[in-house]
Amino acid sequence: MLTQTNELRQYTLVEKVWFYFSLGLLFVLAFIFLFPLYWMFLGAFEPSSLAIKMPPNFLPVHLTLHNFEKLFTSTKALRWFINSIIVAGSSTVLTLIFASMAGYAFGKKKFPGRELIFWVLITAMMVPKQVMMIPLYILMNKYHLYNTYPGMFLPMVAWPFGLFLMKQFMQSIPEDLLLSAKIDGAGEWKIFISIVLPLSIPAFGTVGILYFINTWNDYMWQLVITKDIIMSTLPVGIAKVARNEFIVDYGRLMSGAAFGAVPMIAIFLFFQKYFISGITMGALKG
Amino acid sequence: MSRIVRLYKAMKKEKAAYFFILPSVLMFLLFTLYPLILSFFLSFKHANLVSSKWVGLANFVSIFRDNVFILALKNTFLFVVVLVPTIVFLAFFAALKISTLNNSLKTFFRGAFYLPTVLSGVILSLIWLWIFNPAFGLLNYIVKLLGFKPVIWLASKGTIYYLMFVVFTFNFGVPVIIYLASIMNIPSELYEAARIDGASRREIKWKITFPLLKPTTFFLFVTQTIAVFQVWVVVQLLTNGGPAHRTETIVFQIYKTAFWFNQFGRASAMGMVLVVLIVVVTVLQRLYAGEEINY
Repeated sequence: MLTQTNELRQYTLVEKVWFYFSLGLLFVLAFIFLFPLYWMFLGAFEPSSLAIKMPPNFLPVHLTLHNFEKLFTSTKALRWFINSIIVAGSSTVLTLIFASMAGYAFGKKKFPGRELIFWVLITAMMVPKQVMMIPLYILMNKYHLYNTYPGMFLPMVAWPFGLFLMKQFMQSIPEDLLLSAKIDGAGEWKIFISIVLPLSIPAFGTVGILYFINTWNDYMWQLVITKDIIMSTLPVGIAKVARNEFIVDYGRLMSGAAFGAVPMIAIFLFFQKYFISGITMGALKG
Repeated sequence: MSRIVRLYKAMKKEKAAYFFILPSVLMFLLFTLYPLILSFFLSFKHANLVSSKWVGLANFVSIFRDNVFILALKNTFLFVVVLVPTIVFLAFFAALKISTLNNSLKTFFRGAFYLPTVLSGVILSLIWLWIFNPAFGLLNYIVKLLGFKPVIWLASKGTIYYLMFVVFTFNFGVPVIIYLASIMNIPSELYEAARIDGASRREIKWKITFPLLKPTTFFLFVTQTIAVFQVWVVVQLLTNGGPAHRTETIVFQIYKTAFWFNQFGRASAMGMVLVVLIVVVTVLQRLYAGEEINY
């Protein structure tokens, strides 16, 4: 009863007005965030002549795939897409293997130097990548990895965020499970493969998705490490289209942007809970 | 001596652990630590892909005499000073509001604010390139509709603030989600107790929620500061640093110096300045936040 009367007391008219007013503000903000995406799709699927029409059409009138046709015939967009998948895929797979191994050791084993090594690895996250980029560029040239796939994805694997998440996750694996396997005579490697990995599937989902997106969206390193236009990843290729044109064909540009955005939007919509858990796990326990 | 033996025994007992961390440590040594050390030495050299020559502090002297680099430093600070508090505080209010809504609205707003974050800065920048277009961009259409003179968005005095807005749209989602999760973590008994004691909503917000979220706020300030210090994609794609170097940033300067002009030593010196700035600002934030961060 007490809480009820309290609830009643708290909703005065002013508070009700404020409730709806602030909700309205939130909707306005959400609109500002989502509208550019709508605008991109509209530009991508409408004839490019409409992209420079004034006043603009706010609703789709003539839907066409013409921009995409132009995109695929006049640029190497399909190849860029494949490059992006190769680069993001390789770095994600390697990261999952390396980070899960290290995460297990840091989360479950008490070895001399554990705290220090972990701290050093994690602190590296603070160092801006641009600083490493110049020596890496020189090294990649020296070892003939410039303009190659390994040159593109290897440095991405060293991002320690995945290791951090894996450690957080694996810490919570019950000690008894590992101990009983040990008593049964299972070796370290066997324990890792048959007990730790199956229990860590959610962590694999989270780290895998965050890494895939992170590498897919990487721009600066992919820009400097590739020379040939056919080696570009999708964001780099599309950005080059925009930068190299004197008069930008916005219809085609938006079709390229949409082509790069759709896989990310799809991953986001399907795996939303993995994103949320990854981001909050990193922050709340950090 | 016995300590060393003990250490050796402890290490031997857990030798599998070293095997498990080996790949990650190797990646760190090869792709983070080694380049970092090389970059440090490069900053004292004049270097390009084929040659290098030791020049002492010449790079540092020359970048601090370079008006464009000074401007880039100022612009980067402006980005950080305006954008980071705006993002963190707006995210706090937005999350506070979202936390009171029902689940479907929660999902909607979380998705709306987070979606731009998963798209690359490149894609969002290109969309804005079109929206900002002075002749047939959406924004000038609206401006004219409202009876104002059209604005040359990407070549005016205020351009840096328009870029900040674009960066805002792709940095806002993560803080909102993190705040939201932290708010949901606060035990509801705390609120109930406060309510029974007759605390008003405003008092609950500022005397319970906000102080309890201090560690989250600190974390967001630090991570956003580091992120915004590295702003460059919008600059490269929308303005190229212009008009008249008004939107030049440190990272864009590093990029141009290294990969347009092949001055690797000079660019590394700029990189070192960036590292020092980030470390100093992070430590200052830590000191300012004090020891209250431990719960």
